[in-house]
Amino acid sequence: MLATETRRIFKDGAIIFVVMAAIFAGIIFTDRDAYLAPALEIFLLLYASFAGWSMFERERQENASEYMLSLPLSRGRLLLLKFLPRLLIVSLTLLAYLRLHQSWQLPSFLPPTDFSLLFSGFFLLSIAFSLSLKNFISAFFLTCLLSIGQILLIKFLDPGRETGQAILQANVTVLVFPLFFLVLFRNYDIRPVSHFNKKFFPGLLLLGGLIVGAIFFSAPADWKNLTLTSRGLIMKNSCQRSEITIGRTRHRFQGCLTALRETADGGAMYSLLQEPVGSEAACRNRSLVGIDLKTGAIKTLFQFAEGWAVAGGYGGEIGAIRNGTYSVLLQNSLLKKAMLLQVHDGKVRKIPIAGDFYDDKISYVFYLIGDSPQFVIFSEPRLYRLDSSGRVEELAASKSLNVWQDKALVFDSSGMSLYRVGQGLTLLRKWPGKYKKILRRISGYESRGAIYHTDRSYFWLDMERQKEIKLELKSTPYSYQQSGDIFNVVLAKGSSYTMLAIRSGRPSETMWEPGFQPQGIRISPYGVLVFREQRHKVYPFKN
Amino acid sequence: MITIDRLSVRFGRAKAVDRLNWQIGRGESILLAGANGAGKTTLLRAMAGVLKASDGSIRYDGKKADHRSRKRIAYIPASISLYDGMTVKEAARIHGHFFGQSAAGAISGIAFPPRQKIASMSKGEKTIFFLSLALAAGPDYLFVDDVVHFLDPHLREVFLTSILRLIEEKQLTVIMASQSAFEIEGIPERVMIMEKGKIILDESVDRLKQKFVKFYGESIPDHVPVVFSRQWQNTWEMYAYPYLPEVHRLGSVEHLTLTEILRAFIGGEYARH
Repeated sequence: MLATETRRIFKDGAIIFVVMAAIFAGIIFTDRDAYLAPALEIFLLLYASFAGWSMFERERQENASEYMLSLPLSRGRLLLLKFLPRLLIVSLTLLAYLRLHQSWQLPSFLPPTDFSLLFSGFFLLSIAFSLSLKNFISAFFLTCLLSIGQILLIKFLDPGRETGQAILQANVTVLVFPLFFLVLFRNYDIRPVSHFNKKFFPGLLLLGGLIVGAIFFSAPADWKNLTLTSRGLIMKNSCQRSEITIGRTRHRFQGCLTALRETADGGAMYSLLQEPVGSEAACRNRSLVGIDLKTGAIKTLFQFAEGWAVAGGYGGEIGAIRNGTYSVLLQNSLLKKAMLLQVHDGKVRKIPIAGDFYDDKISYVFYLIGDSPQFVIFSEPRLYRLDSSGRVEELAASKSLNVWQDKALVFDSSGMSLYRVGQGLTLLRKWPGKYKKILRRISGYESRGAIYHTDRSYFWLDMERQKEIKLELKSTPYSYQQSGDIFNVVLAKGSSYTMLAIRSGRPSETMWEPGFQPQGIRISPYGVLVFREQRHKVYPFKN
Repeated sequence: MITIDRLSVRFGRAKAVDRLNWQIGRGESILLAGANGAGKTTLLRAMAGVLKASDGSIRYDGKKADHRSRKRIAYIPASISLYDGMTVKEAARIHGHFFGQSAAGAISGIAFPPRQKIASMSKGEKTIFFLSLALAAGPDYLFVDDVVHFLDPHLREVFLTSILRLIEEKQLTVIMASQSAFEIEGIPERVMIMEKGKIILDESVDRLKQKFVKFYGESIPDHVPVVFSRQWQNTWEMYAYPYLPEVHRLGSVEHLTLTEILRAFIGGEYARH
């Protein structure tokens, strides 16, 4: 029986073998490999599908179904007798192809491992249709839909997923169909195939629906950005939606929530709510909102009119909070106007800046709030003061600066200067010479401490206490964050990190391996957050 | 011994066999009769294992029917289902592989060229070839589903002689489904008639012939169990079963052949529905 079946499979699939041989000859004797090799792969998939689907084709064609079922064989053994010769032939076919692929260095649209997975999936999946569909074209179409369709869906919902992984996932899940077929086949009998199909197709639809549902459910939410709050909460956003998990509750919001500034007690976060315009690349400011970081409640504080936007800066350090009042500078690129927005107890006050003002290079704003608001603005390479009458006064020139509350560490060609920012700049200390700032690279929360270097010697400056300590570092720090008296320094090498916690000059070192190459890193007084697609990990500082 | 207990076979909501109980002894030869759609083929298919019972059970010598019991069964379906693409030699080899070949040459005088394709045979040739394959395996049970009419008089005689010989020599149990007894008169010793999936008659052929009568009268008598009647001018032609002479006391009655009895029974079923 096995030999008869094997001969039959060869005979039935001969036409596909002939076509494949012709294509292979074309690959050898012409220079059209680029087109013919993928065609060969398509025919191989066609053959795998045919070998699976044709399991009971002979019985259909030769009126032998009743005879086959009357044989003294259990349904399981019958299926095995049909399956084994096919498995042997498709395995040999695949091995032969892989050998040729290796020997002739054939171009292909999939790497050999991925193609082998797809080929196996086609064979096994087509077995599920061997009874239900009398037409091979329909069976092949459904096989493509369930296998390649699933791969495309996975890739569509998770563009970052590697093709090999998507093929593996799709081909593992499609195994439920031949398994379901196997279960139904135990009760298969001579009743018209419509009786079998009455159970098969609803099950197929249900399983297909479950798979698609699982793909949708497990697909990454396509988060573009994550923010780590000072208490370790994680805000996630994409252009379309945002969420924050507080305790065990996930709070979801429409639109993209970008953190601006957190209150000192960590109870609320002032944020910017944006919405996509046309494509995902462009977003429009919609409103200024406050998020209660204990309840997840969101409150709209101010709706932006056309052209108005928050003056630039790193998320997490935009605006200032003093005496419970949040202040943020807005400017309008269309009208060339600016205004100060103040929020206190949920009430909003708008203070316009007289005259014309617009600066698209603003990277930090100090807020000097008094009877007449003033701003000290860093807009590389300028540090200038803006008052409510719209008057601008140049204060210093700098390529970079570090900020901690009302203090600014300014680097220029003559050296490094620490200023208190008030009505003007009050020089607290000056270091003449060649001093260079160490980039924090990642930001989000102001750091009390800063690292600078001169002649390859690294120093930690506590801007609050104006105290500096020499650091013994083997490489350039990746980032740092001082919270309280502990200075946390992050050193990066590939996807592994060395965390230095320095207290009174004594460092303690911890190695941290998140286990993946991050696409984004955030830092806050709580710790370091790394993320890639759906995955993220947090390293909490030992404060 | 075959024991069928509350066997039901459903096709969707329709019951082709409905809670059927039946016992068949070893060496019995039975005619399974009934109108179209009575459930004869369904019952034979369930007994041969090609159709799964929806409910109830079939036991062969006390053991529940499964794929192992199929080895003792020779089943010739009305479709004469064989691998048409095979040659005689291939089919014999495959059949022998699964069923064994303990009684080679069970049908004498019939031979087919080994290279002949089954597809090239006539229905009658295919039937006799199938029978020769089936009997060569030395089965204990032979289920034949309404195929005798495919055979020409010569093949029919070969077919029936072979079966009779095996009944006598090996106590082969034979169940032949047919709507007519004309071709197989003389073989069955017991008759079972099915109607809508149920047995409405199960009787030995001799007793059936004794108890089934035809009589004429001007009206249908109330006290006689008439199963079928038809009127010819002012006279009624009536068929009664079971006719007990000492109880029903009719004047002249005619005893009928098995073919006539079946025709009357089936005619009665159509008249009732």
